[in-house]
Amino acid sequence: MPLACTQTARDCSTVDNTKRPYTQALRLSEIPFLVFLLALTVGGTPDAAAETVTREVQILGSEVQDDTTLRVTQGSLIAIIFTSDTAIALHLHGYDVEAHIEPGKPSTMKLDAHIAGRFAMEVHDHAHGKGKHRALLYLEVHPR
Amino acid sequence: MSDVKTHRAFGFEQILPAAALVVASVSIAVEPAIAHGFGERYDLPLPLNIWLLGAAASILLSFVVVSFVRGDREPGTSHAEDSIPKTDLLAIHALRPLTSGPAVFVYRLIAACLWLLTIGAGIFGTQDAYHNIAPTMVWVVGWVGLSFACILCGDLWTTLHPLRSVLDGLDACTLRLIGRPLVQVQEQPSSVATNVWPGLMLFAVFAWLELVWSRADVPYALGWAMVIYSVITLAGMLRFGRTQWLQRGEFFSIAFGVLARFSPFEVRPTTSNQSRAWSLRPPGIALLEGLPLSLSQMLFVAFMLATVTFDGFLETQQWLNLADRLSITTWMQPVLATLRDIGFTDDETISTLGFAAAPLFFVAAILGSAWLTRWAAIGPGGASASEVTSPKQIACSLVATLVPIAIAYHLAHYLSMLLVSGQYLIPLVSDPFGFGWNLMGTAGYQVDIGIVGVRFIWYSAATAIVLGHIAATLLAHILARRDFPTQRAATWSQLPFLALMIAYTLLSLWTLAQPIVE
Repeated sequence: MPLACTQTARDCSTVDNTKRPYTQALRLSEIPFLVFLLALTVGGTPDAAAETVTREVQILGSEVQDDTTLRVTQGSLIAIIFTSDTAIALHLHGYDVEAHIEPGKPSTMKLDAHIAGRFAMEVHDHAHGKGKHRALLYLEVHPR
Repeated sequence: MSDVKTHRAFGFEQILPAAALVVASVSIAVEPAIAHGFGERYDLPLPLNIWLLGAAASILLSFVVVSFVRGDREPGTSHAEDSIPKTDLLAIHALRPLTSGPAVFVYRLIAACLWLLTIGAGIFGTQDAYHNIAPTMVWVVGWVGLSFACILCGDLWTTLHPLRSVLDGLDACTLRLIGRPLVQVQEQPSSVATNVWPGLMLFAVFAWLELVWSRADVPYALGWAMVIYSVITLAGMLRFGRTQWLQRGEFFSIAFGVLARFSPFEVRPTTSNQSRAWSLRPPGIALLEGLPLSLSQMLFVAFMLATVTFDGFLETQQWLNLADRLSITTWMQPVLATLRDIGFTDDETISTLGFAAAPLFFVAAILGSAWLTRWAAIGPGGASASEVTSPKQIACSLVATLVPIAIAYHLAHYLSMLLVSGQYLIPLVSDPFGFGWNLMGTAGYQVDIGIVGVRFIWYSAATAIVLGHIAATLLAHILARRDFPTQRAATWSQLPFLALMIAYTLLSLWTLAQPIVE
């Protein structure tokens, strides 16, 4: 069909005008593209002036005492202060940061939360590294 | 058709237990060496406002479709198959070389080589899932990647099928050496297979391996699973003929075929009695071809829908709580202990329960809605009972209209995984076995987990879900106008499935709005 149109461009434009009313100027097929553009503009780069956010996490018997989800904003610097009653090694997935915590001694995990997402923090247990182990807590980095 | 009947008796009873046994023995023999689950996703849950917006848009647009869209045909008139508008892409000369014989030969050769490479890497390569190409090739490229490709670009699998290529190659060799082809069975390419029971059973095994199996990311186990699948497929093609087995027993061909029907592209390779085809058509419309489906086809589609949804449900806190509660019940203890002894982990046992329940739940929902559809058409719709088909027939037709919702969820669920885990291919092509090679100079590539914006993922997920829902309601609308005698019966008949579609779409959105837990 489009091949026929190249012959007389004027004819095609008149056909278009009659068959396609003004209200249909935005076609359904164009919407995903627009959404894509919107997402690009909204998703913009994080602010340069980052603040440091401090969170405290208490671990008793390999369980987190309060909320098991830490929520922070993308672009901030984070310091998570852990205290634990047992020696424990933690691994934050995605960011690939580790923390070794000695009993009774607060230990801080610092990171620049530049990537948004939901990241599991698991106990690194070399004794039985087999199979899936559940996350101790989750770090949610929300976009600005 | 008589020899098809005799073929049916052979096959599964012999192949399936053997396959299950080998898979089980592989899973026991292998010690995993990796600490983290393969294909990990870091997706944030869909925020409340986006999910509410998506839900509201879906519900509102459903009623717009039912109330305002009018087909140009009177209800109850001829079938739509012959009237699908198509644009023949082969008529465009610039595109012809892409589908020429030599080009297709190269595609098939590449696919077959990748197949062999994946098996080789799995069995002989390093056993670290991230440094061996096998897990990425099987799950990211083979399953998620190919399903995306088939949804968007048409049925590429039928053309690329590596085992068909292997058999074709062997066939050509024996013809040359001993003067007769390897495959003795006469091909029956013209018949469209409706009996897919063998494929359904094998698909159930595959889906279990994908969703439940704890060794699904162990290269060695994957390599052997592929060998078993290759042997089954080659044996099936040898015994029943290529087309017969690919249409009835080869679940990837069936599953990718269902997904590809949604695609705006129709792709068909050259066969003995058909020339190749490549054309553009309205997306989704081909799902209405060949309806009503047979019972086995209907169950196959329902099973696909259930596994796609269960896949997401497995990562929710709700599932974790349910699994915890199940695992401490007293009646489960002997079951868990017995299965633990033969090599199944407790997680696998509990997940298997959910895995088995999900398809039952879906089939029950579909059959229930089909029964209500018939009731609505006859009662308030005013159609006479003799003009309306049985609930089973209705279910076998309408199940196809649910496919776009599942496709939308599949795209929304796996988009970020494809873009993030797909990057592992870059270092892996340089060192597929994990032997420390650097063939392409890309072995040092670091995967960027922040490659796509969270908002982009959110908006594209919600858009996909809403568009999938509209496609589903439109298909059901076309089908209702085609299958019911009057306008009024057609309108009323749509309401039960509309309710089911809204529930299914809301379930998809809800699942996307749940934080992922492991």
